[in-house]
Amino acid sequence: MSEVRVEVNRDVQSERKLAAARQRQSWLESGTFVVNLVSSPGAGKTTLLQEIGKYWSGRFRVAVLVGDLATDRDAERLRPYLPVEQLTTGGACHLELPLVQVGLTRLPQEVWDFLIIENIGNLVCPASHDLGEHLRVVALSSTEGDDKPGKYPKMFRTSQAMVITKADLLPYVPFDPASADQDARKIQPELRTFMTSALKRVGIAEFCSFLETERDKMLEKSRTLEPNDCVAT
Amino acid sequence: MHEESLVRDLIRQVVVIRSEHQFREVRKIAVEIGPLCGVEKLLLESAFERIWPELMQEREPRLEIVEIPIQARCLSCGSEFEMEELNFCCVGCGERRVEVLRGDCVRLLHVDLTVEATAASEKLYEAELSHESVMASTTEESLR
Repeated sequence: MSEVRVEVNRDVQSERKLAAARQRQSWLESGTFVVNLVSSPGAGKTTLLQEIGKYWSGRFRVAVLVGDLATDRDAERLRPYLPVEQLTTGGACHLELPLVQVGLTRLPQEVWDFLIIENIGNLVCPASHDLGEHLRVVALSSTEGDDKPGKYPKMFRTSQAMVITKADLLPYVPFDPASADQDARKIQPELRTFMTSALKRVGIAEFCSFLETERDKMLEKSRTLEPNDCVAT
Repeated sequence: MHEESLVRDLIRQVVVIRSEHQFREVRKIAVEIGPLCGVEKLLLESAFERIWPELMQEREPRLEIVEIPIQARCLSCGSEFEMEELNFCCVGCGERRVEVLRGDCVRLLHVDLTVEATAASEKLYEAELSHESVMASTTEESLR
């Protein structure tokens, strides 16, 4: 009996990341721009999506996959505005790609202009799971601390945009948007920051216009890419 | 709680490695973690102790966890450096756009296995293993 060392040197998630890269490519080819929306619980993801649904109504084909530990309450809230499927994780703290793919088949059609995945409210675990999205957006509400980006570095590092929600409450809370933005930029210098109030319908048009531009960039890329190029970020 | 998911991925990779060769027992698994991989050493250890017996018949191997700082490359001047704190800034030129090379994932470094083999077949294993390392690094490249 002897002992042998097998050198591996590989990310334990390498297979998942490859699967996510394939899914991203497949969405790119169908022109479906996919956003992974993350935040802590109660930051206002669902309310933001209600307003986005109203804003884009009749202009774009938009669908939402909404993740929760239990109940389909968020899906019920969104249903009047958008085609939506609830993904219930049964207690798991984040969404994984296979569950998203199941949800995708339950939507009334396969191809959308925008598919928004509302992740489980959690700033830790969803950061480690690539769902094949083209853009990760982190929502941070004015009722949370403006020092959160530094406390959850992986989430902010892996996001491309930050939406400060509940901006209508800024006069009443100690949250400083400039500090939050500065803290986040130390970790992710290319982060785009948006200020919104879904209740007052402020900032929704600016954020949607940003998403439309990002989708245009993706479509441009899909026209210039070789068919078997794999897009991994 | 996603430590569980990472441990399941880890054990799946180890099982594949073992089944690809005629190894008997997994003795030690070495992994690397860093400040941006989103796991805590103690939680990873306890998740491993909990999940290994759930999935495997054989006794639990030793899990060695190596903690490393973030290694990054500047996207402007190209210099590579280690980050002391989470300050994404090139130590050479001050550029803030840097690419993280290591310390942002749980990386399986190596697996120690026991094997009943003759000297001749061990040589064969070594040849296969070096081939596999090449394959693994190719997969990594395609993911970047």
